[in-house]
Formats: sequence, C-alpha cells, structure tokens
Amino acid sequence: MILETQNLSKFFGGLRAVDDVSLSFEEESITAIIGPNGAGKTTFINLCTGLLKPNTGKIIFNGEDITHLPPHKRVLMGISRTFQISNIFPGLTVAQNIRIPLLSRGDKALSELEELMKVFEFEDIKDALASEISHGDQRLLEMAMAIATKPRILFLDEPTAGVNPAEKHRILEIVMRLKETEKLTIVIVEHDMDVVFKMAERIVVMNRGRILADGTPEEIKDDKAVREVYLKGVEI
Amino acid sequence: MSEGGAVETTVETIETVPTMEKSLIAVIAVIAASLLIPLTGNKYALYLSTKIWILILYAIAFNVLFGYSGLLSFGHALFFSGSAYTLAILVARLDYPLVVGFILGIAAATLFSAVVGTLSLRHREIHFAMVTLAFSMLFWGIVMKWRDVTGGEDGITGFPRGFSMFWFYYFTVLVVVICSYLMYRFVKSDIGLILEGIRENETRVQFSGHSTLKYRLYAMIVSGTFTGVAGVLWALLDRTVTPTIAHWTFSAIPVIVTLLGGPQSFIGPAVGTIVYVIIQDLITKYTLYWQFIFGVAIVAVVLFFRGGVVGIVERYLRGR
Repeated sequence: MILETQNLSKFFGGLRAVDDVSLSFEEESITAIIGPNGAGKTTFINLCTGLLKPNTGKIIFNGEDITHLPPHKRVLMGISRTFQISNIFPGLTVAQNIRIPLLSRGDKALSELEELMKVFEFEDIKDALASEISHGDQRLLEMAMAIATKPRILFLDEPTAGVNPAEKHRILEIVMRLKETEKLTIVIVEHDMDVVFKMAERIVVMNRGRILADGTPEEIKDDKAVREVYLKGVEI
Repeated sequence: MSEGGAVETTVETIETVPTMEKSLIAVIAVIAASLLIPLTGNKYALYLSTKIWILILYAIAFNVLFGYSGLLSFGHALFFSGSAYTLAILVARLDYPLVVGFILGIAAATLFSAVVGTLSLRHREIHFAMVTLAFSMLFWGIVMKWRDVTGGEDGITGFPRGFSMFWFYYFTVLVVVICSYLMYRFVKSDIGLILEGIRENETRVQFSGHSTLKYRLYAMIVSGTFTGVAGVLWALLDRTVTPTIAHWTFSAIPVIVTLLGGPQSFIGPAVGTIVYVIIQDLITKYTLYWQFIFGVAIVAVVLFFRGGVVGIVERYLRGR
C-alpha cells in the first residue's frame, strides 16, 4: 500500500464534493477513477496532492500522515501530478520547464535532463517556448515535469483531454513505458472509456462525492448501478 | 498570472543573441561615455549624473522582485531610507567611522527586507503591495516622530562623504556596475529561473517540489539589500538624510521608472531612470506642471507599450 485515504471529505458550502472516501492504492498499480462531471474526481486528486485541505479524514503516504503537508513537501516525498488544463510555464522554454522540477532534487538531478528529453522526444523543440508547442506536446511536457520530480505515485487528471487520436496514442504509450521503467503507481482520471478500459487494472467509479463501485474492468463493465448512472449508452 | 503577463514575458525570452550583444555593447558604451562627465567640470551635470546612477541601482534592485518574481512592492523606500538613516545615525550621532556606517547601513536593509519579507510574503498582488506600503509608512512615522535620534522633519546632517564629488562619482559608478552585475548573475541563475517560474505559474513551482515562499524571500532579501546600497550612496551624495526618502512617494519612483523602461528587460529600469530624471529636469525648466506631463507619458507607455522604452527600441531594431 503506497497511498491511502481514510474517510476523506471536502465540502464546498453545502456541496459534498468528496464525501467520506476511503481508498488505497497498491504499489505499481494503475487505477482509473471515472464518473460523471462533478463526481469529485478532481477534488479527490487535489486533496491527495495538497492543492486542497480536507474538512475531515486522513491521507497516509508510505505509512506517514501527510494530511497537513503543503504540496511541495508531498512532491519531495514522491507524490506528483498533472492538471486537467495544461499547467506549465508558457513563457519559458521546454528545457527550462523541465529544469525547474529537476532542481528540486538538487543539482545532481540536472544530468537527467538529456534522458528526459529523449524519452519524451523533445530534442527538436527543447529551445521552443512552451506556449508555442502543440497541445499534445504541452500535455507531454507537463508529464515530463511531473516525472522530473521522480515520483512514486503519479496522478494524471485527464491526460488526453483535447488532443488528437495520434497524440493520444503517443501519450498513452509513453505513460505505459514510464510505468515500467520508473516503477510508478498511477492514478488516472479519464473520460475516454477507450483509454480507461485499455490501461487500468482497477476502476473506481465515483458519483456525487462517493464511491459507487470499485473493481476490475470486467466487474465494472457488468455492474448494474454503474451502467445506470454512467455507462448508459457507452459502447465498451 | 494574467494572460497579459504571459504575453509580455515572450518579449524577453525570445530576445535573440544579436540583440543581446547589441544591448551589451550599448550598455558598455553608455558607461564609458558617462565616465567623461566629471571631466567636463560642469558641477550640476556631475551631481545629476551621480543621482541618476544611484536611482538606477534602486530601480534595478526593485525590479529583481517585480520583473523577475512578479511581486509589486510599494515599500522599497523602507530599505532605501533604512540604510541611509542607519549610516547617518551611526556616523553623525554615534561617531562610528564612515566605512562602518556604510556596511551596517546595507546590513540594516538586509535585515529589514528579511523581516518585512517574512511577514508579507504570504500575501499576493495588491495585498502584498499594501503590506509593504504599511511597513514603510510605519518607518516613516518613526523617522518623523523620534526626533532625538532621526532629527524629525529636519533629518540628519553633519557626516562626511569620504570623497570629493569628483571621485564620489567614480566610486558610485563602480559600486552600481558591480552591484548590477551581481544582480544580473542572480536573475540568470537557477534561483532566478525558479523566480521566473513563480511569476509565470506559482502553483506549478509548488508542484515541482519547491517552497515558493523560500524563493520569494530570497528575491526580497536580494532586492532589499541592493536597495540598501543605493540608500547609503544617496546619504553620502547629499551628506544629509531627510524623511523624503522614507515617504511612500519615494517607493513609487522605482515603480514608475520600471514601467517606463520595461520590467521584462534587465536594463529596462535603468533606461527608465535616465528618461525619468532627464524629463523631470527638462520639463521643470519650462513648466511647473511637469508631473502632469509625466503622468500622461506614463499612462501612454503602460497602456500602449507594455514592454516600456526598451520594448519599443527592441521592436524598432527587429524592424517591426
């Protein structure tokens, strides 16, 4: 067990965005969190990574209570993420974008810059401004920045949103390769059912802040309640 | 930051190598030419150029915080006057040697910036500007009221400059050039890169594993310390310190000249300072309403030329 939440809740006014969620993630597993809009998927990631503070509940990482740690400390412990909308440094070059997270691990880590450029196929665009590269490359750049902090668990919030099919394929391929080489635990929020059922070993379905179902792709496919609220009409 | 911020930054980052070389040559030429000023024997020109050099240091130091980390301080007069008053009190009141006053004056600015930084950097944008303003006006209040030590409205006189005006000019140029070089190295270092990251997208810097508070504090201390160097030079130039330099209007000077010259370029604030002092000096000769004319010029630059004077020149050089 690398990360575990215990009765985690987050309220926005009267809205229970995340409501009493207890989940745990096995080391080197790949879990997809799905659910309709407003189900609390992104809020759950925001709580795990420290962007938001929970109202109640605990977050345990590697046996340590991290509920009240700020984001940068969690990153240094090995929790990294990407955002739903590309979250990069638009006015800096691709190489500079990756240099900043590398620096958090000290000057020695800078030697990994070359290698990351190769893995993400950025050699030709390393001096381009991040604002000027393609949308798919921006998504990959953000992923490269997350990997540069050498995470043990990586949260991906809709990594293929808004990219074309070719780029989508490239992104997924890189994610799967990284999972092996970096021995990553991956938690992915995704709307694309094609992606979800292809990648995930386990699927968690959320609805209105709560966990509706939790199981293997086969179990989820056949779950009546899930079909009712979410998979209605979706061809799997 | 806003979309506007992202657009502005491209002005600096796509600065091509030839224009960088050109601006380096231009900077060296201006410094070399300015070394001839004392030889003309014109005392007023000598005084005015010394003043410009000191204000250039003040503006560049301010812009380490504003242009590179995106933090608008409205309280830099505190660091400027804090160092000037420390020197004046130590030397004129307590009979310490000038060198001690000079060094401890700068140290005082370092200390003030560390304290104010620690207390204000949790705030952003307008709140940060207001907190820094409040601290500097608090200091202004102390300077005005604690007459026994600060001389109140009259300020402090009666300490030497240590140089003739002639040699003080060269001393000032040397100090300003060295300090500017050190700040240039700072903003181009990895710490400077992280500061630029904070200006671009603070959340991403946090999620890159950095305490942004720590780096903002570094920027504040570097900015405050070099502002302190400008402060002690200013005290020596007039051999007087008065509460004018502690007042919030004195905090506005680097803000104005930086917007005028261009915050996205390292030398922008220096260019803005030269334009500011010369325009002020020229217009005052013809009209009492120089501030009005100046205000119109500032509004025009901010609204239509966000890269400031340096941005306009760069665009011209690229033939656009």
